[in-house]
Amino acid sequence: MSNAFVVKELRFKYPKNNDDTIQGISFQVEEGKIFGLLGPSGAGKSTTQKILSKLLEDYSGEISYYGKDLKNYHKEFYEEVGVGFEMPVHFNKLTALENLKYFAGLYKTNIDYIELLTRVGLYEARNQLVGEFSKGMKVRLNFVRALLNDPKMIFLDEPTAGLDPKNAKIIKDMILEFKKQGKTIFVTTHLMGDVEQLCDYVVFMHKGRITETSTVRDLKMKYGKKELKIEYYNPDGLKSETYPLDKIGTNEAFLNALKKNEIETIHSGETTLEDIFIKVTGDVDNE
Amino acid sequence: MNKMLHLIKGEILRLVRYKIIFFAVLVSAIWVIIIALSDEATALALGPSLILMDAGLMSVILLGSSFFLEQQEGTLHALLVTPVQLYKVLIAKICSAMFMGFLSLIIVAGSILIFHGPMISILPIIFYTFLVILTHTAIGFLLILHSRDFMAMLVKYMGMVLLFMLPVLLVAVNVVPDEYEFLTLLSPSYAGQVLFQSTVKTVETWKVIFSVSYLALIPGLLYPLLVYKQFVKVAIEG
Ligand SMILES: Nc1ncnc2c1ncn2[C@@H]1O[C@H](COP(=O)(O)OP(=O)(O)OP(=O)(O)O)[C@@H](O)[C@H]1O
Ligand SMILES: [Mg+2]
Repeated sequence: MSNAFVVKELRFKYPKNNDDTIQGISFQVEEGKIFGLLGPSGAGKSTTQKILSKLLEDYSGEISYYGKDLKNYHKEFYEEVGVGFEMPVHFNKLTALENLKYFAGLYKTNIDYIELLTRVGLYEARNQLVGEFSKGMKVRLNFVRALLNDPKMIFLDEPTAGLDPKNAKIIKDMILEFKKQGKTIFVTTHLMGDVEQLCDYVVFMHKGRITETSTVRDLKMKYGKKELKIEYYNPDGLKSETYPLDKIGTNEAFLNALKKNEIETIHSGETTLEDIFIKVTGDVDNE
Repeated sequence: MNKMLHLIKGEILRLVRYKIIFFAVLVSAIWVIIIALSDEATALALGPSLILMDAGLMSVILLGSSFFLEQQEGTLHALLVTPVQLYKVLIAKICSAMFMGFLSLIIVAGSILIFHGPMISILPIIFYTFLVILTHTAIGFLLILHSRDFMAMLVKYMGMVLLFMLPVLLVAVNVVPDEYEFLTLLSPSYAGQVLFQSTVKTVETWKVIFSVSYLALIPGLLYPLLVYKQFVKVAIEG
């Protein structure tokens, strides 16, 4: 399996700031996989994406793209790379179609963007001025724009932010299809649902550093608490208790609780990615 | 070349949608009324200044409003992640200013022709308009690219107009002795006006030659040395 990107000891400081925003991170983005960059607000996710997509140049460390130093790529880089910004950027006084036509005209090859527009449910609104679009519509158009050149490497900064569950699912399904076509996808997000459904592997970032690199499954194994939680009413009111999942069938306390009480709810205490997220970022805060 | 044309079309479509062209034509329409109401001598005396106003001074305002609208939308930044070279984007913007300038040239010069007969040398005026727009947009871009918003640009712009008009005024009220009159040509706007005057009456040849060279030199230096670099910087900073 070859790598699209190999990043070594990447550091970056915004000219106006005193401290490094990115403090020496290393990771790889595998070809044909969905890479998730996670972390709390201000961690440096968008900054990292901007560096990899050649928008920010004065970094230190090494970045190679398909084996060649990123700095040796020029404008031709963007013929095969698609970039979706965090904030949707469009010409507001142009229609959706005019916006797409304008940007599509800048590339050598084009994807069938009418089809994409239809998929994301904007075909009906294609002749409407983008300035009159709702937030979610702008986000969807922004997504289509990132794909205009049928890129083999796609950067998406929070692609489902501000979308309702139905539209978010459409976008996620499309991302999974792109992966099937062999494209490499770099997703930045702090939505755990996206991560579970999309990412082959994730890198956790916090305060400019990487705190975890793993697959979603391995993360859950590592941080997962195997336990069972029950809630029941007794004369004192609602009570809840937690028992280890290990040998639960012979756990007397647990079995007694089941026998004696009117059980309201039972939950397996499988750790959610939300918990892991908070744990991973919390650990760093306490250092 | 195809991409260039595509970019220019995009710029002009935006000028139409943002009603900037409408505004440009409206101003020219006012000039038409003035020309129609003037007698022949006044129209000829006014004509060159009116064309200069549109091609030189208005073009900066129109370019500025278009630029800051685009800045607000962040679309210039979005072009950075496409294969298009930024110098092409800059050229497309200059071309869109040319488009508006020539549109108003057609309107103003056309109305002089219609109301007062054919008294303008056509080929020279086209060439001079080209030079005047190039010079004024070069200076205009420097003001635009060094301003945070449209208002900040307007303030600098007023300063520029004052500076460019001052020598002309001083000569007019005879504060400057005649032998120093040539200094007024250092104002690009005045040099442009002299060129436009030369299309309707006789102007000393040396003045024409000086003005043409001067108005070719300014954009020739400013665009590659200053404007382009700042343009790239502003595009990246978004
Ligand atoms: N243009 C800039 N100039 C100076 N500092 C910046 C700039 N952009 C971002 N920063 C700073 O860099 C840090 C990381 O920002 P970044 O946008 O990469 O975070 P993020 O992880 O994408 O957060 P979010 O989840 O909120 O999008 C923040 O502290 C931010 O203030
Ligand atoms: Mg971000």
